[in-house]
Amino acid sequence: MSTEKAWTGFEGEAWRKQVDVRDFIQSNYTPYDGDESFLAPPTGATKELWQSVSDLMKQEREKGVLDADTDVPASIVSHGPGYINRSLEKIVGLQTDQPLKRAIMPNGGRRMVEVGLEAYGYHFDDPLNDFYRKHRKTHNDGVFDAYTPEMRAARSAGIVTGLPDAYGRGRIIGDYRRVALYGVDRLIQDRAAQKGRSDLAAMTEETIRAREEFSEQLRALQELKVMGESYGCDLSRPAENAQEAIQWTYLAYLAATKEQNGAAMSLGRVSTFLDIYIERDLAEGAMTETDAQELVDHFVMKLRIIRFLRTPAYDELFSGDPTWVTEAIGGVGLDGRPLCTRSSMRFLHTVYNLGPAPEPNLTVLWSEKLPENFKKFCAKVSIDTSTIQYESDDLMRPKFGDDYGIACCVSAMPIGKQMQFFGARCNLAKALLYAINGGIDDMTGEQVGPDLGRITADVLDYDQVMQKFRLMQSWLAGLYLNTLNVIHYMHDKYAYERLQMALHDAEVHRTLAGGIAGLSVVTDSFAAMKYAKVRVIRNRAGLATDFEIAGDYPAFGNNDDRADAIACDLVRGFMAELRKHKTYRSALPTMSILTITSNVVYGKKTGNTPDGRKAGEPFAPGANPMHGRDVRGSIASMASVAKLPYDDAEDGISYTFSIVPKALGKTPEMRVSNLVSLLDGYFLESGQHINVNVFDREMLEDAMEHPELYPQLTIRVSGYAVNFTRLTHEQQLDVINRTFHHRM
Amino acid sequence: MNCEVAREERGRIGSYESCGTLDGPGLRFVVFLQGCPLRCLYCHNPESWEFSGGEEVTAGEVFEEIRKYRNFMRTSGGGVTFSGGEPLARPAFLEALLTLCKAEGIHTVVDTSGFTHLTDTVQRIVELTDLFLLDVKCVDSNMHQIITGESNAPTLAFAEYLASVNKPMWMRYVIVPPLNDRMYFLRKLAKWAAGLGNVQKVELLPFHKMGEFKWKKYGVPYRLSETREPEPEEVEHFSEVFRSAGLTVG
Repeated sequence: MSTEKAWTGFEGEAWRKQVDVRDFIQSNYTPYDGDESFLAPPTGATKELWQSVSDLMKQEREKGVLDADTDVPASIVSHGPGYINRSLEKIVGLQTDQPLKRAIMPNGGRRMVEVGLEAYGYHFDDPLNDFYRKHRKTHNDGVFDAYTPEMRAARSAGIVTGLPDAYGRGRIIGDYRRVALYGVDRLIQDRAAQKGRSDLAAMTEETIRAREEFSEQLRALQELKVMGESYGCDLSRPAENAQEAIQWTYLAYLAATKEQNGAAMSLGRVSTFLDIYIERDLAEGAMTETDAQELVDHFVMKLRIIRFLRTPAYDELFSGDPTWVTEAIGGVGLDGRPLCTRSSMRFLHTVYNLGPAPEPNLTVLWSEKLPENFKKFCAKVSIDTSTIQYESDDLMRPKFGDDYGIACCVSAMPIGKQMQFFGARCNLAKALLYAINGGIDDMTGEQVGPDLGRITADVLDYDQVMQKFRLMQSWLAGLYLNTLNVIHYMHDKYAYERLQMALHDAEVHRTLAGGIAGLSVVTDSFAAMKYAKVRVIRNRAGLATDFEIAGDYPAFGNNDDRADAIACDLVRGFMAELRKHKTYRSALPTMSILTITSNVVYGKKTGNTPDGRKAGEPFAPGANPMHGRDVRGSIASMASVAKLPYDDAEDGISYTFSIVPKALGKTPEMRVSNLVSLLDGYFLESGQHINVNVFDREMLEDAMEHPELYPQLTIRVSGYAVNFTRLTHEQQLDVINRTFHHRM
Repeated sequence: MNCEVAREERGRIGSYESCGTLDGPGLRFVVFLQGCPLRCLYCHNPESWEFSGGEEVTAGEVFEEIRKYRNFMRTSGGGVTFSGGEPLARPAFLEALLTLCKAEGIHTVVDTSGFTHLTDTVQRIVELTDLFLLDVKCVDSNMHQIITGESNAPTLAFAEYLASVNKPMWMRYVIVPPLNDRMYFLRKLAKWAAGLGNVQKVELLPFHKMGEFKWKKYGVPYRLSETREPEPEEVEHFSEVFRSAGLTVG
């Protein structure tokens, strides 16, 4: 295996001896602190290709899905090569043989495939369906074999929702860069050696499982090479130039998306890695800036057309067809040098060259120490397109180092070294109602939680309700983690991510990520009990069905410690409960405060709450304050969120911020500098994540009326970006009703 | 006034805005002091008129609220802006607030109509303030009377006092056709403002009716319902008047 040509001109030693992409980056990257004036416009080929893709997407929007397989279970090698327009594509590779044609992945769940296909007028091939029914157990089957009656009840009541028990869990980021830097043969050699280390070991369950997994990984790597060959790419060897580096990285990622319909299929942190190859080619005169941008544009175009077949129920939770191809950009190295390169800007620049889009999920790792020019360029992109989310590198770097990526929306993990067992989230507002009503569900009247006694007083007493709530959350946390243990055991068994895990170290750190929804509802409910008077209205059966609030109370989102301290205690309290439980594969429990768009469905499934929220009304997304209750302006609102303890919500704290352009400043320059200051300030206050939307409410209303005029209107919702016109009607209304920060 | 005394000074606050981007340099925490002696026809904050409205607080309490935003002030080169109502109508309270901010090194702006007597307290306020936003309604006394219900003599005198002590100010002017948009008024105002020597910037703000709905709540007839909002081209045209007098329009 020759690395001579591939590694010519590269510095550093450690990464040559062992797989260590971080060391390669640190030894070779060229920081860039200049402005964006070097960036190149789209080439003719880029424009023509993007036009073809846009036309296909238009047809897809009209039909729901453009096309779908019905009889080919997807795998890395299930489909021959596919192209958009072969003569124009600098970066090739599709999930199936046609762009936007969706593959089926029944290993996650047979029903998911059946229902997903039916929803769009396709029929799951009978013999194949039958085969899976009779001969090939799926992840979904396994989970339901082990679920307890209580788990099923909690799931259907919606106190735990969005569980990855019928679809791929995602939240695993393969280190796709390894394929470009080392070539697949080297990775196979390494993994085979690692497997060999247990040849003489006692065959415990753990060892047997590891050996089987290694074998699966080796098989996946072999298939990756076969897939590469079908596109004329020799992935067995390292990439020798920038085009190959991007192509190799993309094919590795593509292979993962051919097998896994993951809830989030993050890309990782590739831009600065790829920049090293681009810089080398530029220095050798082998390419121009226009060529470099064209490669990045074509790569990003491919990321934009990653698709999965999903059911209407899934879309109701997470609409807009999200894939969460999250790419982390920027950040600062442990040695203090910013990791911003020209390619960091080239990736952001794609939203100008191709127009805005929800994918890839552009995530800027913000630090006070980022170059001013880079900060300003990011702010400009946000103001122009609302496509960026920002996360605090200064907060995450001490925990995760300087080569972590973001799985899905807010979950940081060192790339190739850590993975997550995704746990969706449970409904904290419902848990509060269970505490008040002795475990009886507020919507169905059924006994779902344990009967710990109802609150019978006419006026809710803070201490009494808090005591009951703590007991109820203790039950919920236990049930929740047990449920997740079942899910991940079965996922490993029946829908193992063999390629993604092949692109990790042999030893992987695992987290089990729980989550909560409705934090601001519960916080405000307790604040109302403490600072105002909450009278209970009960039905004939004696169940609390509504609440009357007399007096004012301080609501979360006003930088008022009376409310904010309650929110912080709730976060610490639930995390403390999660930590008490035994986890599958000894994963470390963590927690996120993130809803994506599921805040709408959670609200639908939750009755009247003591904060004054009416039954069916959406929760605030993620960690946001409730709509319209943050009355002291946007900085007060973000300052409240920034207080939430990241140590107890290490899987991420999502905050979505929407502001009208005029409120950000008078002139374009002032808007840019004010947004930079806002971000600097928010992260100094130890905020972890922020989505930035800059647009007028009127524009969104117009887009609801005339979606055809806004095919690329992208907005940020909790943790990811979405095409506004592809949201459900209810979700569109939720976005419009959400607090827009503006002043007259 | 020392800080101990300042903390205990009482006044009334209408509301706070944590993200002011139009009220001085950088990001501003804006404190709206309650009560205003003027009744401008186009006022968009009628809830700030009554001196008995709002909430009674001590300057110390307000200051604790202001301090929470130090990080944002630091990253943006911003600070606090006292607006209203008319902040100079509560001189002792405003002096107390400014004293506390000054001691902490927080940049201060006072957003005022200048409708005040030049008492000792007001002179100390000027001393303590980093920048004034002076809202001049009209250079013509009669028209000023029509727009605000009061004479413009105190405003002009206040501006001249600021100039005499070389205190920086941004002059603001809300253009309300057809009340104060005559070229004659604008030329006269520009000449006067240029002569002051301390006007760093002129801001021309087109009249808007976004406050109209609030008037209904207060049972006061809104008299500008039929008034049109000026076009951007007109505003640009008026800007030229100030530019040719040697002023910066921003």
